[in-house]
Amino acid sequence: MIDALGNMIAAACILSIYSFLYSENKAFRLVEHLFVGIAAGHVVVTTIYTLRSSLWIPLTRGNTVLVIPFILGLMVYFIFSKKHSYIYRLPMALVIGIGTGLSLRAAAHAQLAVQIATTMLPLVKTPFNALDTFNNILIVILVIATVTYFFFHWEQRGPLGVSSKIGRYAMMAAFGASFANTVMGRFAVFVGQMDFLLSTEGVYVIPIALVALIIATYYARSKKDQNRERQ
Amino acid sequence: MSMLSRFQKMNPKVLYLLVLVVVGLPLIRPINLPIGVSRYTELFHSQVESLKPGDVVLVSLCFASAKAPEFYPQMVAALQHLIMKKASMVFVCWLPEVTPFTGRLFTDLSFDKRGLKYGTDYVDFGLIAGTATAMAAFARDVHKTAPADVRGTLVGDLPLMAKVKMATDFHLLMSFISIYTEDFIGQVQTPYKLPLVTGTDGVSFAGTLPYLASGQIRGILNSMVGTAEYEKLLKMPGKGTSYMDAQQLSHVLIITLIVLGNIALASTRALERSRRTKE
Repeated sequence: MIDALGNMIAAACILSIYSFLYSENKAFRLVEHLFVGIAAGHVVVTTIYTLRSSLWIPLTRGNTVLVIPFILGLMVYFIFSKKHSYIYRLPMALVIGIGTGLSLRAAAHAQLAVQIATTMLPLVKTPFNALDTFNNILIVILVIATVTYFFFHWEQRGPLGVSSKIGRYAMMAAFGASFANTVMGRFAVFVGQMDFLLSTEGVYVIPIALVALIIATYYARSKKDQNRERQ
Repeated sequence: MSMLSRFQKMNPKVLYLLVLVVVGLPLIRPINLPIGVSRYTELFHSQVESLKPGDVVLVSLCFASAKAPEFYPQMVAALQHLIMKKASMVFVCWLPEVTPFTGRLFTDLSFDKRGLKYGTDYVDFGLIAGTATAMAAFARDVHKTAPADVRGTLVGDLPLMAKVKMATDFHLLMSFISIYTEDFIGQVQTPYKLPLVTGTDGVSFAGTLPYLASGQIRGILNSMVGTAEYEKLLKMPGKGTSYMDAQQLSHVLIITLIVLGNIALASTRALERSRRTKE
């Protein structure tokens, strides 16, 4: 019973959000605000649970070292004090420092060194495979051409101009593929929502939503006509 | 007004209605269009297939909850395979919004009815806050970073976790990820050279491909199509398969509209040009 009610509420929310495609309306705005409120509430509850499992329980079982990050965490709240706001800078500096260090390590190795090594390919694949050889040549040429597109020191004329043009086409092809995947992803989300509406108790909400849409359209039309008559 | 210019000025609401019909009808009455299997999905499948009973898999969740229609069927298909392989699973969420999905998975896949014991066969750590920093710390020392699970049980009291002290104790990393992909690869996979398979959404798929070429990722499930392909490999049709008719027909509609739109634009321009030359 509770599940059915939940499904019907979810269906009403989905239809209210999609009603934006017809026009901006109060049902859409209500659900939008509901979503923001519920998401904020969920983050608060999850944070409390996380504090319980990663701080409170180990602390009460004798892991006293955790007092240090706990105090550092509390220090962040000094941002709300005009007089002592400088105190929050210490934990923030630590967070930024550690974050930057870790990101640099990851970027230098996982994203730069390994990726560069991957593009260093044999132009002729052994044992010979025509498709792999073609792929390797294509990868090498397009990587070099794309990098030359970002040479801004020299005017892009002559061989550099040709290379950067090839690079531009390579990027356009990549963006096209990426955009096509984005379209596919968006449709997948829509198909998922449609399936939810059609395969759960949410299906009973559809006629109600249709009636509401017809009434709203009729009301908007008659209001428009009234305004026209007044003018 | 000519047919072409009328097409160009078509009310977008007509297009929305067309999309609604094209997506809705195959969901009500499936037409079972054929589905192929891509190399990316085959690679993902073969990685899971190579697991031995008792191997420990880190199942990591890191995506926006709005992407659930893409990720949830992927997780259902992949976890069914893990259960079939009798692998042990450690669940970790890197974002607060994905935490409800683990509980839903345990219920929908009937973990209890299948005889999977919490603490022995699977463990859920819930949210580990801090993204890149948390990922790095978790990979270095699981017990220190996650001292208790989502139920409040101390990590030392969980029999499965006696086998897992750090990232290298996992036999496979399985990540359902749309954001912080670079962080997960940079902090967990690459430093410890672990096999990683990922489920991605359509938007991030193209950005994930270079990591497949470099071997940092060993297999990818791409959005809904990846799920359908995986279900085909498992011979267990599920949500992914049932969605594919609607997905494929919607793509046909989009391609048709793009082609027609371009023909209409080119024809209108040609007509205008010829009118100007006549004048």
